[in-house]
Amino acid sequence: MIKLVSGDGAEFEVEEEVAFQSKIIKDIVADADDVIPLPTVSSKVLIQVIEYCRKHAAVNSFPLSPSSSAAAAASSSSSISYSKPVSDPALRAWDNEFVKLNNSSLFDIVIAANYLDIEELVDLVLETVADRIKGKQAQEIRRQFNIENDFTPEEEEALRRENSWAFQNN
Amino acid sequence: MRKGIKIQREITPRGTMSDKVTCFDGAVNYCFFCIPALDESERGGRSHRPILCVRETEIPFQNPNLLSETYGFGSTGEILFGELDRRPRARYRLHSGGFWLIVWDLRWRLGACEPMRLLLSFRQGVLVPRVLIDQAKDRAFYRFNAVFVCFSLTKMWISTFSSCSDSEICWELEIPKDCKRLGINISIKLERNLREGTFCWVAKSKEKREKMQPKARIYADPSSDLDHFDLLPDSIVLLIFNKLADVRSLGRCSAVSKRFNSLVFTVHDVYIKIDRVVTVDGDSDDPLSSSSPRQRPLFANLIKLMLSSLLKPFLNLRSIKGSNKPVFPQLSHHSPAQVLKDFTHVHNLRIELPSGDVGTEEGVVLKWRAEFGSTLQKCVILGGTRVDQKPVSSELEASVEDNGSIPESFYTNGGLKLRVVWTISSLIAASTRHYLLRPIIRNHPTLKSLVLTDTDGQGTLCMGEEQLKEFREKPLAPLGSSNRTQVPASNMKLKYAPILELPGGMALQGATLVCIKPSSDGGSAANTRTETDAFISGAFDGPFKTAVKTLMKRRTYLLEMNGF
Repeated sequence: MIKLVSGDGAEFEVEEEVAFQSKIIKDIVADADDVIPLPTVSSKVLIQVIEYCRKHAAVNSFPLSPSSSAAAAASSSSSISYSKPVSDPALRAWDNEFVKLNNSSLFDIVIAANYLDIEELVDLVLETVADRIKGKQAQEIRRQFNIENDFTPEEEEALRRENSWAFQNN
Repeated sequence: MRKGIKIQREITPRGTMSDKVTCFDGAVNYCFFCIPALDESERGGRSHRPILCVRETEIPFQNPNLLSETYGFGSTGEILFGELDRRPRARYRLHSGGFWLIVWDLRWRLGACEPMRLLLSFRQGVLVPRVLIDQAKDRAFYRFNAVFVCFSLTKMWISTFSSCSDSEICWELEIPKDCKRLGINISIKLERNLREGTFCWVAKSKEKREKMQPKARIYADPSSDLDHFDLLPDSIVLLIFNKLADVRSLGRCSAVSKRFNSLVFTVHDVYIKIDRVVTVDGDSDDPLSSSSPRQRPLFANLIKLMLSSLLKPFLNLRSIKGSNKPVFPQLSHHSPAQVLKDFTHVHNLRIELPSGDVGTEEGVVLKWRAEFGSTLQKCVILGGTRVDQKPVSSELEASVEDNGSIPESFYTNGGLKLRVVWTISSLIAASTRHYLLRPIIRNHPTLKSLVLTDTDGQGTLCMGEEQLKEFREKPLAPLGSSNRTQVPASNMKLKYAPILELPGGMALQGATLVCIKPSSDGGSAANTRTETDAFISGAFDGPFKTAVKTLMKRRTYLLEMNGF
């Protein structure tokens, strides 16, 4: 078991194969302690990340060694290629539910996942965000993500003229 | 026990900036104020020492996630040497005197224009990071703001560093002997040519500060008031844009905010869906950037024209000419080259045409995939006269399946002629697309992969990194007044099956596979044999992949073809 400590002091005990979904944790654990402080990850975010890792660790290791010991499971999880797309339809459905969150929660998760180097989770969240941007007008994007329009009206007009191909209706 | 560090940047009413760095290691809170010069003259020219105040403070630790600028454990891990990469990341392991030094989380939040190196050396308990700018060609004046965070599992300490120098900074850090494992996080901000006002974020910070009063609100509810994207470092925002890829969405993003605008055009992955294809009168040298096209959907006409000239006897191929009216894909009124002109870092480009460009009779299945360098390198074509839902009776199949040879009737009933027409039309379509890509390849030296497909899934043209390089180094002149590149003299291998069962209860009639390679390509044939086979068997998806696999086993007929 590995103990993760969130920024606000909460401790989470997780199995190795769950924690090892994060490459960084794997690196850190490689030669010593199993208490890992994660000062910038809040417990709220860490709970979500662990939930994701638990699900994916279970699905990823299952077909390889359903009844293996912890050590065997850990070694099998090391051979997982993170870049491959999630192919299991049930897992994909679970992922789709998982990312039904507001933008700032998603961003918190992606920052944590990027820091912890969980590539699949980073990809999942970024794709979700990209889908929320796709096909929207600039004004809608600003409203959705609370982005301040820091262009002057003249600048914006010039941009629209310059890139008029982007602003026509489909 | 709480641990963490945070950095707050503040702008004083006088316009100077201060970074407040707070470090919590559980026992003592340290607070550093680093006040770099905003204006050189105000500080009396070059300054090599940062102003650093160190004092203990009682500030309670806030959740660092909620700060707009958080360095330290949570900052995301990249090192970016000049160019923004898809997943820029560096991890070093240095080994010295009994403990491991793991350095990760190196983030380089700079523009893409300054090629730089970070060197780390480690001697006798002292770590010496050096940052070098490789091409300080104009002897530009750089200023570095560096935040150096070291942490072991039980301790952490930070130092900040600010320096004005020509092209290099170098500093030393002592590492305690009892430190077992060490993480180091370096954030460096580099500013060039201060007088030109690269501090665009200063103004933004000012506005923000006014808006965010009282400060407690930031911590209380970040989602209500903050720009969500302020939470994300540039590298992640860029990853989002790469996922977006669609050029129209990217264009709209460029008008969202200045930060978006500065990042959008550095994406690596771009996808362009062409709305329609129009023609332009043929005297333009640079078809894709031609500005006032006549908006007539003439593609079909062109194809007819091509086909009618193709029906000439085989040996006359050399005399075939395409239409005098070149055909140009247009994104609304804009060519892909115009649309792409601001994108400076495109690595992977995918363009989709609205339809396949070879007109075929109803029911005919025709697919091609071609790879080009300067000229055609290989091409595979799969065709069939009809797809049936149900497989025909097994006796009929048995009677034609006997020896894998082409039945005699194939030569007499126009079967072969039709296959030749398919082949030539596909090659003309491919070389036309190849020609259309010229200005894009010329204007985008960063391209590593280029794919041109169509919505019908008829034809796919691909160029990889090596092939793009060849195209740039040995550009091939276009074919006379025509709007395509020349197809070299080639060998064709034709395989035929009168009827072919496909998975899913379908059958392809008159199934034909044609593999084309330039005949001059013989020298390297031995080692590219498997490569070619892989290309052929991987050319198409789904049932057509199976069809290719089956056809590959059949007897091969060799044909030769002049260049045209």
